[in-house]
Amino acid sequence: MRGRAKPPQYQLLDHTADLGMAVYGANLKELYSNSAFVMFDLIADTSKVETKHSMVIEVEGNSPEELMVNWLSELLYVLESRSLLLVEFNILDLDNNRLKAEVRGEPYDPARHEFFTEIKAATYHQLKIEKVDDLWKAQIIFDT
Amino acid sequence: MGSQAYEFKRVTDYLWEIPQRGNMRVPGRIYASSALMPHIESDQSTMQVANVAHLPGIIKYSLAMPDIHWGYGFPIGGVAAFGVEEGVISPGGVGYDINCGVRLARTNLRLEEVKGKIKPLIQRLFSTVPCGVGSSGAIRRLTPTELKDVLVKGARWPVENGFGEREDLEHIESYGAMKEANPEKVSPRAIERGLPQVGTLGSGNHFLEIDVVDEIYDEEVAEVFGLFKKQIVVLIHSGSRGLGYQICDDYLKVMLHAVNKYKISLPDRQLSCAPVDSPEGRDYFGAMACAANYAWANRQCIMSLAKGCFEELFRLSPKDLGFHLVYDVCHNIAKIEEHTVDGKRLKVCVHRKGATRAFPPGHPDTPRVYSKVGQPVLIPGDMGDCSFVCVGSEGAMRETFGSTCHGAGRVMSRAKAVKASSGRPIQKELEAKGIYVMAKSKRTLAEEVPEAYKDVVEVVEVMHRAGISPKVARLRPIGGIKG
Repeated sequence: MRGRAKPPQYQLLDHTADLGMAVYGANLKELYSNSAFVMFDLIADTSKVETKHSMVIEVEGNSPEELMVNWLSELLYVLESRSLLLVEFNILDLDNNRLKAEVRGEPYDPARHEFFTEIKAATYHQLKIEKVDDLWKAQIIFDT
Repeated sequence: MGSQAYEFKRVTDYLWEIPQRGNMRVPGRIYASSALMPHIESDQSTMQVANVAHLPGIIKYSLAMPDIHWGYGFPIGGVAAFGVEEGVISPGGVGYDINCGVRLARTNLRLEEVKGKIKPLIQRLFSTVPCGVGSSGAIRRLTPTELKDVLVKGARWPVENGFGEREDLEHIESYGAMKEANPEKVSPRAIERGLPQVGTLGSGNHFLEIDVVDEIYDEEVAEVFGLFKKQIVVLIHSGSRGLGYQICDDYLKVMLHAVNKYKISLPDRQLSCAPVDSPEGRDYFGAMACAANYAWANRQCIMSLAKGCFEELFRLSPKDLGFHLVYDVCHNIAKIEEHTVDGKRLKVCVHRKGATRAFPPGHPDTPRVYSKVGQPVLIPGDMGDCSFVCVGSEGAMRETFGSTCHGAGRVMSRAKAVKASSGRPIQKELEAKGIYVMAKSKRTLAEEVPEAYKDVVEVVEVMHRAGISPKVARLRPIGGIKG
C-alpha cells in the first residue's frame, strides 16, 4: 500500500506527560503506514520533506501490537542515527509477526524542516490495535 | 489495571496514606498539600502508587512526592525501595531519560553586572551549546571505544579532556560516575545513538538557564553552598539523550520476558521487572549506570561550554569570575544504598523516578565540603517560574529513603498546552517578565508554558514543611536556552 494520497485520519490523545495518538487505516498495511507518518508529523513539519532517500526496513514482533512498537522504534532509531525525516511508507510485507517496508524521506534540514517535539519512544501503555466498524484503529502513547 | 478508587488517610497536613489492601504489600504514601491533592487524584497517578506497592520486596511504602503525575507504570515523582535479596529492579521505575538531572553553577557576578548583557550572553550560549533535535556535540563524534570510556568514567572523561576541573567531581552525585557501569550490557544500537550526542542539551523540557538568587531562606546553609542574594547562577537540566532512551527500551523488552521467567505477577505489565540479584537485573543496572554516567559527562561538558561563554563575554580572570559547580543531582535513577529500616541496616535498591536524593549532614555520600549542612537539592521550576535550592535532611533518611521532589510536574498535556498557548507570543511574554529565552523550536516553548505545570512553590513548600528538604534559596530566571 503506497504511503498516502491524502493526510491520514488521526486524533491526538490527552496524556499529561506524554503524547498519544489514535490512527486509522482502511486495512492493516495502511494502519502501519499511517502510524509511521503521523509519528513523523508530530516530530516535525513533514510538508517540506522530499523523498530523495529510500531504504528498506524489516522488523519482527510476537504480536501485531509488539510489531507496531518495534516498527515505530526502528523509525525513531533511523531518525536519530541517520538524521532522516521519513514521510512515505510503502508496506511490502506484513503479517502478525513481520513487517517489511520501503521508506522514503530526506535528511533533517533545520532551515527547511520546522521541528516540533522530540519523541523518546513508542510505549506499550494503552497500546491497542483493533477494528472499529470498517476501519482499523491503533492507539499509541509516546514518551516525550 | 482497574480503576478502583483508593481511599486516602490523612497522616499529617503534608502526608496522605493509601492503606494497604488487596495484593498491595505495603501502604502508599503521598506527600502533598490539600491544594495539590485534586490534581493528584485526577490523573490515575494514585492508582500507580498503589500498583507499585504490589511489587516483590518493596520496603515500607510506595512513596510519591507532591509533583507526582502519571508515568509509564511507575508514576513520575515516585520513590520505591526494594531489598537487594528479595526485591526487584524495574526500568519503568527509573524512566526513559536515565539520569535526567540538574546541575547548578555559581559565579561571583551580580544581577546589575549581567542584566544589560543578558541578550548577548544568551545568544552566545545558544550558538555554543548544542541543543535541539539532530544537534550533535561540540565534541566531535566519538568512536565506540571512546564512548565506552565515557560510559565508565562519566564526568571524569570530560575533565580528562579539558572540560572542567578535577574538583568538579566532588560536587556531583556519585562523584559523576556510578562504578557499576558495564558497557558490555549496552546494546550496539544504544552505543550508536550515543556517539554523536556527547555534550548536547536535548530538547523538550531540558534547558540551560541564567538565574539570579532572589531570596535566601537559610543564611548558614546558603553560605556553605556559596550562594548570596542577587548572585548570578547557571542551572542546567538535561539527561542521557538517545543512548538512555534506547537502554530503557532495550531492557523494558528484557523485563517483559523476565516477569514470566521469575513468575512475578503484576497489576500493570509496565511495571515489568526482574529480581535485583538476577542476570537480567544486574545487566539492566550495569547498562543504566552507563547511561547515568553519559548524562553526567554531558552536563559536565555543557557547564564547561557555558563557562567559556561567560569568560569570553565578561573578560574576567577565572578567579574573578568565580564560576564553580555547586552540585549536580539525578532525578531519574536507581541506586544501591544502605538505609536503616526499623532499626536494621539494609542494602536496598532505591528507585527515584522524578525524585531527587536528599542526603543529610554527615552522610558519607554528602560531599565533604557540605558535610556540616547536608547535600544540596536542586529543584527546577517551569520555564517562566522560579527554581529552588534545598538541602537534604535526617527527616528524608527516616521517611523517604533520603529522597524528595524533583520539580514542578506537568498538569497539562503537551497537546493541551500547545492549544492553550496557540497564537500567543510566548517568547515576548517571557521577555516582558524580564526573561530572555532562545529556543530551537517554537513548539517547545508552547508546550512548556507555565500553566502546563504545577506550582513549584507549593511542591517545594510541602517537602520543606514535612521536614524532608528544607528550603535554602530561591532562584529567578533572567534568560535561558532550549532545544
